[in-house]
Amino acid sequence: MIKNYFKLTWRNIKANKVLSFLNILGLTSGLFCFLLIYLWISSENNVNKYHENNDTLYSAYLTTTDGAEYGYGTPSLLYKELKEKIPEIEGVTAMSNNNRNYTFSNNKKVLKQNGKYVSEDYFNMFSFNILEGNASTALRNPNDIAISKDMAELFFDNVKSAIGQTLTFENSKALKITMVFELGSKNTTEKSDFYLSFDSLLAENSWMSDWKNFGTYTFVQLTKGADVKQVEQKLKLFLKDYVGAFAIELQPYGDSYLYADLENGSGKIEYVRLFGIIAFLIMLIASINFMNLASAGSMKRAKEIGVRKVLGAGKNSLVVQFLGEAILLSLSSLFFALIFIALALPIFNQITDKNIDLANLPLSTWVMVLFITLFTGILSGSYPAFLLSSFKVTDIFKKKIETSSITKLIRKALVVFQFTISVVFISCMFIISKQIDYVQNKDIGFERESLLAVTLSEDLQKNYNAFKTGALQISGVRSVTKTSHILLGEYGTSPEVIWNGKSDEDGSLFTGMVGSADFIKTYGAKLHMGRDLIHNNPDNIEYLINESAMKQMNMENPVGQTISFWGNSGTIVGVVKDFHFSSLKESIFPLVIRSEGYAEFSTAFIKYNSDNVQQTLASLETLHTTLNPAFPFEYKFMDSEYNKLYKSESTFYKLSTFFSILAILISCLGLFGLVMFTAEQRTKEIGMRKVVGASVFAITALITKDFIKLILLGIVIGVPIAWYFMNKWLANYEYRIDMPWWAFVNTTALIIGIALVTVSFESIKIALVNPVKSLKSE
Amino acid sequence: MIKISNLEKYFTTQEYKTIALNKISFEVKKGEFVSIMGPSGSGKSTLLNILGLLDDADGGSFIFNDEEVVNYKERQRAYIRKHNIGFVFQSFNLIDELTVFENVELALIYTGIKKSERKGKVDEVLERMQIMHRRSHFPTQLSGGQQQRVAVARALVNEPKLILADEPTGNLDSKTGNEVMELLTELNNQGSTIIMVTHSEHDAKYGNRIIRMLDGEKVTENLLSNY
Ligand SMILES: Nc1ncnc2c1ncn2[C@@H]1O[C@H](COP(=O)(O)OP(=O)(O)O)[C@@H](O)[C@H]1O
Ligand SMILES: [Mg+2]
Repeated sequence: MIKNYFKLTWRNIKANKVLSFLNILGLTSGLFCFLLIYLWISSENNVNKYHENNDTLYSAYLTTTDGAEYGYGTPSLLYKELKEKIPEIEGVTAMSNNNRNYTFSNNKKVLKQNGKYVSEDYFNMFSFNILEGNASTALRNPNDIAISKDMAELFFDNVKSAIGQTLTFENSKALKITMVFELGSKNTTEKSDFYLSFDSLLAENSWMSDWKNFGTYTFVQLTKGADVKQVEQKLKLFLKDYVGAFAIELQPYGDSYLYADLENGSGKIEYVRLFGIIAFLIMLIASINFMNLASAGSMKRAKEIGVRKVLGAGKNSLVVQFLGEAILLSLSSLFFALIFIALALPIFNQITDKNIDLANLPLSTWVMVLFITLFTGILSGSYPAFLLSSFKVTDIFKKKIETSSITKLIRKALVVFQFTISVVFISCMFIISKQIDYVQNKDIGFERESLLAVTLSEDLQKNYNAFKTGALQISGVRSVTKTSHILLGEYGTSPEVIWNGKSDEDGSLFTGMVGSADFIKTYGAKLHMGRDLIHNNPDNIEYLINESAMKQMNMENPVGQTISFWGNSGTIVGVVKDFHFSSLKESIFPLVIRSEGYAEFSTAFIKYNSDNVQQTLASLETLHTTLNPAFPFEYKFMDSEYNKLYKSESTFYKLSTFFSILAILISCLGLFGLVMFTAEQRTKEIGMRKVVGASVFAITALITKDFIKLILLGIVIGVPIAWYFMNKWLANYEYRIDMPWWAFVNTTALIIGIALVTVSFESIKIALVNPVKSLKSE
Repeated sequence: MIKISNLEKYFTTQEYKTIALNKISFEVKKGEFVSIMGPSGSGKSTLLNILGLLDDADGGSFIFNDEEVVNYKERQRAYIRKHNIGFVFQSFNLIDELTVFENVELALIYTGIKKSERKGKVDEVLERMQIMHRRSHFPTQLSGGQQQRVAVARALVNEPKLILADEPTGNLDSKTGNEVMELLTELNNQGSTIIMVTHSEHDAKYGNRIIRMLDGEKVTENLLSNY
């Protein structure tokens, strides 16, 4: 019996080659998108959740008691206090906020490596694959260091021989290697080459012990069975005695990756949701294709069904047969989709910065994938199955099975729906690309092109003047300055700016930076009034402020006025026109730039000529090596750093473009099949029209018109939906494009164009058939 | 009006070549009513399709209204078709999705006649075929005779100079068949040229000349008393 079904199914697939091909191709493409997104989503959902203690690990964060501000930054001493005072806390670790590059050397090599400081409990709380050493004692002493397997292999012959050895840190102190760890292919955001003792960081930076300084991350591990609610209750008031109006809150550590936007309870989860919706819609389009093609094709099989019924086939056995066919088709589609996924994963991983490997997927994922495929197969197969098996035998033989008007309506509605989705996808794609283009090319008030950021390590900070003089002698270098910040990204804000006439209640916030001579010249920023910074003299501090700061301070003519920032008073020498020093999602903040203050200038900026860049770089490196032999030359191009600010947007754009294109392709596959079917059904009519003199064009237009109407309807419905969502998305940007109406015109033109090609391809073929043949086909 | 000489038509299938028309020649004058007879497969329909410019010949000459049309392109053929020729088929070939009125109107749509004018013409011809009362019905709701009358109406509505009928009574009982034949005779009396393929000696006698075919060739041609 089953064998018989198989045989029939196979014959059916063969007999309707084009239809089966369209069906499998459509479903394969749909499954391909869906599974790819599914893999991505489940990978995103599991980021940082592999730790053995996952259930009891929490990230601490602070809120002001009025709930106005949120942040992961906590006082650096918090970890010590928590462990002592809260019994439910089993482990707690501090972590210097971000990974940084530091220079390591031994007798073999000098290399920059990327890592951070953590406190003692760290390796007990978080799971690492420890190759050598002891997790509990690894960072007990201030000069201990834990390094990765890769780092160990860079400096030493092998992992074993690394343990107990020393590495020189920043050309100043010797660190002892106490542990070698490995992360393997873990789904993690931890990408550190090494971990240093947090206590040593504290000892070297006394300011960190100030409870008012929130620069350190704190993670806690609760005891098994501890009630989080109760602990949170205790933590609410914990800081009262230390800093006042702040409360400590806990977030499950595994959630910190997706829900980093604490204020809105969102973050990357938005993209996960969005792609989830995209995956669902694409799968829906593919299923609709399947339903439409199968039900359309079923008319051809009316006779087969009639004969089967006459021979005694019950309704159930027919349903089983058609469902079986659908399932078989969907399983073969799954097979093809998996092949394509295997081929596409390397590129996909590269674009999304992921490490997904089909070979490493858990069984649960496979079960899910199989379930989804079967579900789709059954769902899309059941409509034609029930439709077909409900035909009346007498009607079939009288050739009376008209497609009922409801069936026709459903079919049309499904086509409209498919194209509505395609319209939404495609127009969003146009708009997102326009916004990305806008932020990447916007005049942000300084020239990021031909601008190099060079890290100023130890010796170079002392020898900056020599470096600047030397650099300016290189023919390709136009100007040099140094600053405390790289002018891209997020900054702290402070109310500690004081000017003449500031009222006592004025709590306005400013972003502060340290700059130096030739700041404006090198950045290519524009002066509103006054002049650039000239002196780098601690006794003669100069200030530049931006226009927003000028407004904030309510000054008519600030040049020459005295202000002070963090207690260093100096003179305002110039007002710089507002420029963007953060992502365009933020508005421009009031900014003060002080000429001198503390020694830590992190970065030198070099404006260079755009020709002969390689030679300029080589000369700079030579200069760097002479002045700072212990450290490697490290630099960044500012324009590519700027584009990195919008990395998630451009990744999203790349992926959604790809999925939009597939969505429209799948829709067109379905359309193609439907046109084919319609043309088949109308053969006689078309023949007759030709007999009475209809031209090929008239026939093509006749068939095309009906479909174009549906597609236009899809456009009419899709455009407002896309408009609504894009309006919301654009609202995220402080600086954004106006809703580009042409995006909708383009979408309409594109979709109609593609649909027209699809439809007319088949209709012209039909229109060209000799009417004698069409009429004979009775 | 029509003059064919040495007209040939082949059909090539995978295995062999069928000679459907084998150098057939004859002439039809304006106002004639010609019946074509012959056994099944003798090439009658093929001939009629070529005469109606639905199909092209593989050789020979076909002069229609003093024009050599044998090499005409589809566009030129469609033009002659819609202005000069009306077809009646054995299986009626009405479009099920269109009403009686719309089926007849179809023959006018492609000639570019204005809508108001079309309505007048269609109604007039429906009146003449005595099926006006059925104008908004669908073909499936009509009897065979009524359907054929609609088909004839469609063939007539643009006042063609030539009417081609392929076994017009083949699907009808003899009474309704006779009615259709009366109809054709009447049209012939009003001046239309008619070429009709039929199996029935009885029907053939309505014409004024019979051409008999066998294996794609004309075998005899006899004038009837009413010539
Ligand atoms: N489209 C076709 N393909 C192949 N052979 C055909 C085709 N149409 C007709 N023939 C062949 O041409 C010959 C004449 O057919 P036809 O003109 O239909 O005969 P009649 O109408 O006299 O019964 C037959 O042998 C038939 O099989
Ligand atoms: Mg025939």
